[in-house]
Amino acid sequence: MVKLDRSQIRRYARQLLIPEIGGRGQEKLLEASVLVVGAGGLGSPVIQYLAAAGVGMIGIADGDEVDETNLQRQTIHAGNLGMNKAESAAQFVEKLNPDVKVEAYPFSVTVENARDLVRRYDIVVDCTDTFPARFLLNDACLLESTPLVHSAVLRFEGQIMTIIPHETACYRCFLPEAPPPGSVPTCREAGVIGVTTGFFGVLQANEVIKLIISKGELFTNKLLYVDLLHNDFNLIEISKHPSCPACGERRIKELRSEYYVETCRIETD
Amino acid sequence: MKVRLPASIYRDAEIEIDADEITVEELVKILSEKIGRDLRKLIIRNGDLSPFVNVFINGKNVRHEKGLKTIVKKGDEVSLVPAVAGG
Ligand SMILES: [Zn+2]
Repeated sequence: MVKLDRSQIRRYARQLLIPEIGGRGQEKLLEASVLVVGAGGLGSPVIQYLAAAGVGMIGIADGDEVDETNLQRQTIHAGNLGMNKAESAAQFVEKLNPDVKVEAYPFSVTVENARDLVRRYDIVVDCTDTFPARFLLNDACLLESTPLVHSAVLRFEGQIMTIIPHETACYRCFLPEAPPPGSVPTCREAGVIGVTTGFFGVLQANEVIKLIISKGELFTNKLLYVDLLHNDFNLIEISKHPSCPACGERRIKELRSEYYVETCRIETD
Repeated sequence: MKVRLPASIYRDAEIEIDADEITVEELVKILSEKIGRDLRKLIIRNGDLSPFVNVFINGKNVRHEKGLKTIVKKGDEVSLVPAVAGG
């Protein structure tokens, strides 16, 4: 078990005062490992707040490069135009908190590498931006029994849910398959504002911290859907469903590339 | 009954439907006429609830109740939650 040194006691002083965290909680944070998939709008606050809180090991996977259109919402990439996002994010973390070991994976998560990456971490955070990537992470986390914190956004709207594999509802319990390509607008087409990704990314980081310290309540078996334009908050019940194509009675046994194209349907044999 | 349509489906609107007891399928039909946009294409696929839109009555997902045949009663609150993927 890690023991806090003098400078750590100073660095984390404000959160050590919180009864639910304290010395033991801080040690748990320093011992924890979290994989953040996507270092974009959602990933920026997730990475920022987990690193600041002293999560000991953060993996960051992203195959994209920082471009100018990212900067109105992706707040951790200052001065790094053209750099790979995972590497740029890793630089940010190193500057912010030397307690954090950071591993950059400068590539996308795929059917081939997903389980292997997920297996190395205690918790996975879904900060991706496509349906196939989201279904892939859900299914990989089910197969590896790794908790997953999901969020997705558009314009001023977004949703968040936390998944404890085989115990609570999974992403496919909420959404068995993806809309046909083109039927739902993407952020690139319909837009998004930094406050939306910031709001949901911070909620994701909060879920991760509570998972690590085993305190409080999670967005499990429920999905929070918020419209920030009208301050409309909807907490929706989602139950783990026996007919879920991923975690139900006929649960998936492996990742197959045909599950992650177009509508991401799982055809059961 | 009150129906909440998020901006990503229809201009962000809260629509009041005057009915005592109808099925989700009937509700979708009435709603489509009311807003002048056929939501059936979005919500219904092959006569069943489409797998990529969720309909909630008072916070309960109708997918896990009786789907399109689930009953909506006077005073119920219905929300349509679309799938979004942005990050
Ligand atoms: Zn499921």
